[in-house]
Amino acid sequence: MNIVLSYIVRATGWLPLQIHKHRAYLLIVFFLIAALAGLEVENNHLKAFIGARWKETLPGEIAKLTGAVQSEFNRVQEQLISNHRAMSAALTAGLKQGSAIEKNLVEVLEEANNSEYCYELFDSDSNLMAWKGDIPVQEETLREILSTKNAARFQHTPLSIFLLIADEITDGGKPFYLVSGVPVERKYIHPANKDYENFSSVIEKKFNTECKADYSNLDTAIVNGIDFSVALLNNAQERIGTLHIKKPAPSGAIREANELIQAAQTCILLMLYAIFGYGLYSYIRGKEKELFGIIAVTVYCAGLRWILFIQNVTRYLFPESLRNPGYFASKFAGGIVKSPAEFLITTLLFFLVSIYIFRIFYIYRQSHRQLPARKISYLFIILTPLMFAVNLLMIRGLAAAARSAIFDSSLRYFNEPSILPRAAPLVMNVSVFLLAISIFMWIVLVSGMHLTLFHSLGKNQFYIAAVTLVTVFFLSVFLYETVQNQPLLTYNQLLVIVSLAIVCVFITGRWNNVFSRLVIFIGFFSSIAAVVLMNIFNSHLELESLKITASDIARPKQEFAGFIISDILNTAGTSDDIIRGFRLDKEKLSANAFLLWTGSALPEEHIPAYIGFTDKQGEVLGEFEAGIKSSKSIVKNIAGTAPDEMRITVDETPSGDVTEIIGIIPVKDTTGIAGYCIIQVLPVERAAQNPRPVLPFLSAKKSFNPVINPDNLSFAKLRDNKILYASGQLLFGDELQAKIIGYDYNQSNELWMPYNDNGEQYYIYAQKYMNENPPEIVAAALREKEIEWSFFNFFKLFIVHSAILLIAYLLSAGFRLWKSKTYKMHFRAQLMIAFLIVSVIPVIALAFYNHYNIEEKSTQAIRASLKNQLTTVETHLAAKLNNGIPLEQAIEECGKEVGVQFSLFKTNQLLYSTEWNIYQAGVLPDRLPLSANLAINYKQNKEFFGTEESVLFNTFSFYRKLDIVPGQQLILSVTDGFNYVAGVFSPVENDVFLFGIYSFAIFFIIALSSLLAERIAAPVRRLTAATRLIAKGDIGISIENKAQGEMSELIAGFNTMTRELQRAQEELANFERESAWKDFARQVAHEIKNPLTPMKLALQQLVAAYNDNSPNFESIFRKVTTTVLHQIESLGVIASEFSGFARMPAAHYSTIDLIELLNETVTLFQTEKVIITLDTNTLITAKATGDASQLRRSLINIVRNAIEARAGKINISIAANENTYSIAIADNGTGLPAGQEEKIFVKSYTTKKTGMGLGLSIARKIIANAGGSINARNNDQGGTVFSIIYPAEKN
Amino acid sequence: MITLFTTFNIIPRKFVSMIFLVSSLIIAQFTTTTLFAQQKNKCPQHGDTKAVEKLFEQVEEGLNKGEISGFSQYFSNQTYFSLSSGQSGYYSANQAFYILHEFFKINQAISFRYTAKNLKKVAYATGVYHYEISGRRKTAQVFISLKWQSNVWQIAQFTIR
Repeated sequence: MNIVLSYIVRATGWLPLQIHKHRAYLLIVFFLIAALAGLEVENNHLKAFIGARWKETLPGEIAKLTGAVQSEFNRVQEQLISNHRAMSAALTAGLKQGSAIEKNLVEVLEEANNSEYCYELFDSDSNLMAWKGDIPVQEETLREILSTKNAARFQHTPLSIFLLIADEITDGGKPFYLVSGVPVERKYIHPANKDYENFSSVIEKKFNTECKADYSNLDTAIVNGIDFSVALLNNAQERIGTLHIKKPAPSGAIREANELIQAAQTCILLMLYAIFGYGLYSYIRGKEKELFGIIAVTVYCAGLRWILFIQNVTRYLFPESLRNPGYFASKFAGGIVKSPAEFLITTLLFFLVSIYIFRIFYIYRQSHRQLPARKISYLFIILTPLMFAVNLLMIRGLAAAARSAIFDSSLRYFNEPSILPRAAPLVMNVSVFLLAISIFMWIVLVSGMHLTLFHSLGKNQFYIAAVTLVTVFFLSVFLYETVQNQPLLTYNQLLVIVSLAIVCVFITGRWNNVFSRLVIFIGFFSSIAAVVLMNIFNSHLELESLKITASDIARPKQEFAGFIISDILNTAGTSDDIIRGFRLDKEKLSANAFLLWTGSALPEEHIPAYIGFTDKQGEVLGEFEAGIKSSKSIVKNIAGTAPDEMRITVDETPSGDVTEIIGIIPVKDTTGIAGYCIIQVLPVERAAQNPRPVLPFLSAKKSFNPVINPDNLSFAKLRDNKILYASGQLLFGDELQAKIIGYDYNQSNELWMPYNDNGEQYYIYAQKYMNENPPEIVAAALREKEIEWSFFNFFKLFIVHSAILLIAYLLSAGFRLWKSKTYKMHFRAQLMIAFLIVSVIPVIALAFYNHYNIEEKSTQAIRASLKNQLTTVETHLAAKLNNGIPLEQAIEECGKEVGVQFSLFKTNQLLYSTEWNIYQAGVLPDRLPLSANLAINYKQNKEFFGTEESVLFNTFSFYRKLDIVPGQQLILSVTDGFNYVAGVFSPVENDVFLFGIYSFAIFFIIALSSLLAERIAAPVRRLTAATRLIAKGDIGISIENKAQGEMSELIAGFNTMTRELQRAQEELANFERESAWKDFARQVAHEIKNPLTPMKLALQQLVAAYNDNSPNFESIFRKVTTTVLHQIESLGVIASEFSGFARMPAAHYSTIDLIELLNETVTLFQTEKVIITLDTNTLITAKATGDASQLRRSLINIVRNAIEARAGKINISIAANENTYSIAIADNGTGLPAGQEEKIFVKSYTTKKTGMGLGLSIARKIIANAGGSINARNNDQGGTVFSIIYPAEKN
Repeated sequence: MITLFTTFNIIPRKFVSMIFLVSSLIIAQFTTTTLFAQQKNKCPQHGDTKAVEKLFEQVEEGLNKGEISGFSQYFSNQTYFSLSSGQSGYYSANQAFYILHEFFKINQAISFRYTAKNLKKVAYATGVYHYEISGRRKTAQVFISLKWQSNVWQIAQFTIR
């Protein structure tokens, strides 16, 4: 196995693995590949396996599904019962409160805050006394409901089916009856609450099946090969309904198993790719190969993107709404990107690659500050045009992407009234933002590399070059704009984006910032650029969308209306529900008419229509009006034609314009014609003028042109130099008509022109349709937006970007804290947090205060508007009653004349409504809502204003008790659900505006806090670094004092202290040196004296013996010479001992990192008035053996010497040789006196007044001891260069 | 001319073949563009009922098979769609392709036939689309209307309800 793996690894060559070191790694890879292959084999056998066993499996699958469905129903039922019990307990407690029981009970009901549930409270005589939400149970049906007390059951209403439970409430006295319910099925499209789902739909979606519900207690169980039935049992274990569910098919099981296997395979593949990535990362990290790293990361990310899409991983990561390719109008990004999810993944990976490369450049840039001066002029000239070209192309790329996001997708980023948009626009917005940051990083990178050339320039040269560069750049922008055939942006727009990029380049120019902070800075400016671009293109889109408006007007609608009418009539003629309604339940026919309307295309086409049911004599049995009031006589006439089959007639004017389309179909039961269904549709050309839905609260679709606000839209249709119709605020007068007709149209018969109408600017689009004779012209005009909408649009997107940037900022701060492992915050960070606390908290508080304030003001404005409308109705009604007109007639006339939609209640029962058909169809309950009922009928208030949550909409309503008819409790109501209440911004729109501004402000506060904290903390940081330097033994330090106040005094004190310390140390050194010499001399004298005395005596003895011619001279000579020799040896020992005493302390060798050591040295001098750069020549580590402390001291000594030689710049560089490292320390100081290059390393030689001449000699000794060498020479450009050769660590 | 230049050593011989190749490509492109432009000029004229009929036939064929590729070229950049799956509004040709592709994937075509056609002033047609969804057969009404724009017939509205 090892041999095979080893071979594979060697053959692939990308992983420098050694088998014995990476056995586990390779085994995991091997097993994952084996699992992948095994799953593939399993997948191929699955179909046959499942198919063969299906007969045995099916009963188990059905049982499983039955159990799951029943448990889902039980969940709904238990929730209802639990709510019901809670309400029952609350009401019982209300009963015990003694007086005003009814009021207490109503108050309890009013407090129920779950709008999904409805509650009804009946008194002991079965009168409905209070209700909340829908009213599924009427007084006459209560008794039947109570027959199954405390057991859940279904209740059918014309439009919905409810699950109900009823109970008696009493405290010993008269009983009350509580009915609680929850809708399980709604038979119509629910425009206000798109999230609502019928119970059967929930089951279908959850269990991926098809199901049909029968909510009756009859046993309708189906036994066939396709379906099976599940009984829905209530809490008393009685059948109350049946679900007919499609039996699971083997194909479904195979598909599920296939999907599971594919998911597992995808998971394994991703794990393998992650392991491969880890190996690659380790490889890159170990070596200093930036270029290889860039290529590897780019290829890896591209590969990851390929795997994600080839394996369709997005379906596991993203919801359906983000994977929908239908959002994109054309081949987005050349067809690479097909959905918002794909766009996000692509931009995210591009961002990761960009940030990786940017970080490499950042590190490289940190260590390379200058290039040799002479190369500058050439590079400057050669690279400048290239840099401009690359930058402008990148900006064009960004603009093209932003344009695509707006133009090529059907997503409307600015039209949703919420702070947090829907997922798809949010993802697209974030993707464009990521792309903008990436491109801005590239611009900074390219420009930053170019600006590297400036660092060697003198101050004046630098400014001249910078001004020239910027001027030439702007001229290039102008030139670039001029040469393009179809520029995406105007010159000014391009200048804005370019200026933002230039700000980024200059802000990041210092490169001293923390990397993450730098990216966030770039993120902020690129966010502004992205939002500006998207706004610009949205404005273009708004103009382009006028084509949609023109298309919609020109679309042949009468033919389509005929198609819709025929479709509705066919449904009406064959619907069992309607046929049953004619026979058994005529009251429900209005609801049926409503259902026909909502189920048709009429609401989305904004076509005003009337749908009615009549008996054979033409008497109306039920009807629904949407934008048309049809008179009973007309309907009777139509029915009077008594057709035997469907008939559609189109009324036209003599000139051929359609005025009305009428359709009729007989509804037949077993006995023959039971009645007729009639549809009347108003001229459809006029419907095209109606940009708003016919019944706004019943239509989810606001406008056929979703891009623009219908209020800003005007249009007209012209034929034969005459205006056929016009709509909107712009009057298509004679002058404008002449302009539109007389203008030169392009080849596509289109026209674009600006138009000023009394100070208001419009853009007009006109299309000539040649298929008409004479040709028709459709003109659509868009009014220019107010400035506040531009701000709104800006903040709508920026608020998301700022949230991302804030989160990134906090995460990066947290990460740095975690990485430092000290969990101690620097002084600067503490200051910044303090600033943020004192500034951001009040800003947020202010934002919320303003939010509530504006909300309150907005509510008050709506209140005032509704109150005015109500007063108008009341005054009008009072006037009519004063004129002696009977109440019913007066109300009817008011409804027609006043122009305000209103309702009138008698006590709590609806008496009249201008929107009567909505109540008649059962869409809204015909009772006074609970809050108003409580306030006016129980609390005896004169007026009530409040919000109402109904199944269809949340509205503001104003109620007033009328005193105009004595003896009658009449309550007039006006609601913004039926009436238009003007307002510039809605509260939600205000929120976007408000929180957008505050998010912008918070970002500025953070930037400002960062700046201030930096200014305050910088001197403290310099002091800390200086103190650290002193602790390391370097006391020759002095801090530049630019601070003011106490900080200035502190720095001055510190400098004085170090000067004093230095002086004291020198004095002490001198004193110690003197005493040491004295001691030393004494000791030497003493030690030398000791052997000298015996030597003297011995020699005297030898001289005496010689003079006396002593016969023992020979023996004396031997003895004396032996003694002298011994004493000389003793002197030698003494000399060695003294020599040993003066020797350097013993070195402690260990592995050291020269780069780390050099970094530490550079750090120590950070606060000195000198620029020290470290050029590591792409080395990350430089391992060697030595005494770190001694070597550090030597390096400090060299740098300190350079500073004392008045060097302004010191460049330290390190490079790797075969077995050694070369370190060069070059300064631009005064340099060495000629011929003194070697002498400076001689002990006691010094050119300084205060020096002892030991530092460099010791440094040479330390380096030599480690096997290296050090030399010095004068630099060609001035200053000194110390060259150190230091041996590398032996492997 | 090239031979002349070659003879007088103005152009190195080895570049001659490359120049020929490039010239041929330019000529080929020019010819294709011209032919294509002429082809475009032969596009149907308004009032040409044959063109309308052909368009409807291609739509019929596509709906019968549940394939859009046969008639997707007739979608304009503002075609109004209204489908029983819930999508409605103006869609571009590309969006229309994706939307209908998804629609036909779920609502698999069995057959389609026209119930009415108007080829004159306002060209439109209605029909019945039989399809299968999760093993169940269903029927939907289809409405297609055309518009004459930029000298070609395009689908203005496509409704399946």
